[in-house]
Amino acid sequence: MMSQLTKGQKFIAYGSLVFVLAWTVFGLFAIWLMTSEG
Amino acid sequence: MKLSNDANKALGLFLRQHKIPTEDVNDLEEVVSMMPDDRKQIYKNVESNPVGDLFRYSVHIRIQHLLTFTTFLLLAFTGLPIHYNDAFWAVPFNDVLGGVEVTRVIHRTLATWMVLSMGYHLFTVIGGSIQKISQGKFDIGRSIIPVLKDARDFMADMAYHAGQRENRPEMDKFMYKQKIHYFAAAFGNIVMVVSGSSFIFPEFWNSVLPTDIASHFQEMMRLSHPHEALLALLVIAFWHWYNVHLAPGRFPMQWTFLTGKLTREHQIEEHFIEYLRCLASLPKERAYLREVLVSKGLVSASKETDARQNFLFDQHRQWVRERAEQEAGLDSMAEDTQS
Repeated sequence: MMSQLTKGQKFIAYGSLVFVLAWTVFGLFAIWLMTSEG
Repeated sequence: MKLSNDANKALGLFLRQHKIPTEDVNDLEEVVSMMPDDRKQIYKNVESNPVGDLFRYSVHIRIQHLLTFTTFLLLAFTGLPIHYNDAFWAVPFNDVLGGVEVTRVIHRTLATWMVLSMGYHLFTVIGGSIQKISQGKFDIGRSIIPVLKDARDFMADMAYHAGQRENRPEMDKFMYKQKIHYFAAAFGNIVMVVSGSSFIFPEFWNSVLPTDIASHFQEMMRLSHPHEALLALLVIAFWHWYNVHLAPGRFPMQWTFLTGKLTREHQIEEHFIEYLRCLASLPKERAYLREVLVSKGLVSASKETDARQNFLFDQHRQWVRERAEQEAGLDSMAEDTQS
């Protein structure tokens, strides 16, 4: 059973999650570039 | 709980290597025999601090991970505008930094930092292993080196996920997935360093390679550098980040890379052999688990038979006895020679 995160910990955890998801979108963008420009 | 042969072997080795006192081994035997066979019952009922309960990574490994991921992301961020320097989005990016020549200098400086962090990692991993071997505390099963058990674990884990098995296999400190990921990253780093260095030091590679290979080598490296980079980006974004951010039980983030600690729940589920080692060396953890098993009514019904089935502890006691007898024998021999 996982206990709750504190406010500061939540900020770090979700902030980091948003960062990696944004980076994933950037990765997809990079793939689109590679395939569209040949 | 009756331990599997693999768990028995690994734990037996740990008890001998770390000279765990007999009273602790007796206590451990009792706690193990109290555990229910269904391990899910244990990890679903223990309390876990999401930030981490049990020690896993030294500060060196954490610094190496921080160095690797900052340089990796920045290298990808500067490498793409270098490779696509005439693309519509790359032109303003390079201009902000002062032109593609400047982006290239930044990229190479970051690459040097990444190579340094690789060196730091090799130094700590090899040095740490030599230290453990010299102290007689090295266990290959506890290391990142792939062993046959990983193939068995993989099959068993697939069977569990397909609903053909009650529990996940009893895996060690590093499970099969982590070993694959580690060596994929190591291979990728080598490819990036070799191909990257061929752009900075073409004369060096020309001088060491045979002439007919050297002419193709540069072209091959020009191809492999961006493609390996893209592969790495995909692996990080879809595999690694799924495992440490999005997977059930890890969401929104696994904290091990910052705190060096793993949650109790995670360790019992995926690294049960390492959890047994924690139980062997931490009396507090044994006391905690015993209390959870009793208070939640999870104590194994077949406690008596299980205790008798666990030969490990009898073997260990016999080993301690034999060692004591040997030492006593050596002492008396020394006395004989002195007199």
